[in-house]
Amino acid sequence: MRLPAAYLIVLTLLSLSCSKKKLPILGLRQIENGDTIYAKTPDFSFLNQYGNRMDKSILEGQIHVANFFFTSCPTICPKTIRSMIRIAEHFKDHPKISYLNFSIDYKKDSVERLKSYYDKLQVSIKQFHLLHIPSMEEIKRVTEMYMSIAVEDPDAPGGFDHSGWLLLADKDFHIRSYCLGTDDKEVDRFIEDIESLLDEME
Amino acid sequence: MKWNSAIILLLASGFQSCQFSDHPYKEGKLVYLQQCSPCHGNTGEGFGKLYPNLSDTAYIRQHRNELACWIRHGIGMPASVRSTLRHSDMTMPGFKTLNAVDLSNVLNYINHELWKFSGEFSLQELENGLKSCP
Repeated sequence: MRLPAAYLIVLTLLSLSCSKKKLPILGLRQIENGDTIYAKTPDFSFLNQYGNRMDKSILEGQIHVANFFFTSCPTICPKTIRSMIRIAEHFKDHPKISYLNFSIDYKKDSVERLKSYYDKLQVSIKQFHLLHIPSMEEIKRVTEMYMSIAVEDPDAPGGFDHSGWLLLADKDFHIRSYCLGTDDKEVDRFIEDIESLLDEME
Repeated sequence: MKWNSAIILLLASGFQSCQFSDHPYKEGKLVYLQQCSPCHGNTGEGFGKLYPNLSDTAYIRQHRNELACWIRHGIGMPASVRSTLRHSDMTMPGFKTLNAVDLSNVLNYINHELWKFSGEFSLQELENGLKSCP
């Protein structure tokens, strides 16, 4: 009788140590009246590649992945967009995940251009949006709230300096994970994070 | 003493095989993964209709002498090229930081993986190619 009991204890301990850790809430936080207020992803109201106006309400009850890119980007964006597609294909039109690809080139990336770029990707993914941000001020506000950077720089390839992060936000709009969208191994780990966030919602 | 030297030999050969059993075009692979793969894909498969695949061997063979200039200075995609590649209006940027050695490395890597031409891309060939850029 003693042995099975010992096994049980060991097994319990093992399963505890194997269970996934809850993803942390990232970003700035404030303490108000003893409560911790965590930063949230930005409000927005932008047109997508179909010319439909999208705002935060489309993300109700969903988690979302955010990416920043522009269609004429010669360096990291093709890779980050590829990673977004890989993630979306992994989760096969999961009804609780949206993919937001914000364009940071408000001058060139019109709705028509975003649509033509989307068509050339030759994918069909529900809830995969390419979003047109109308001004540099808005781009600055949105990128910062997603802990990213995008600045106009004539010397940079394509005219913009920007970060290649993919960001994961939960249904309460808190950022819970991120990865470098150009690094396949990091994206693999990020996919696991998305899975654990989905588990958390159930 | 015999045994000792045998062991040393064994160890040495093991060490050698570790060092040299890797991919033969390692430097070219590094250049490829950094500079080419974001658009053309990890295995040269291209990306939808946005960026062409690199496996059109007949086309590459026909334009072998122009490859160095295309990579160094980019391609503006004249209509003729566009129609041949059956691809978008996107242009390829020039990779000005790649010298003839890098070009030779990366082309030999792609050749090894995809094209399988019998002749390697020699440094001489690429230097000549760069000299004749328009």
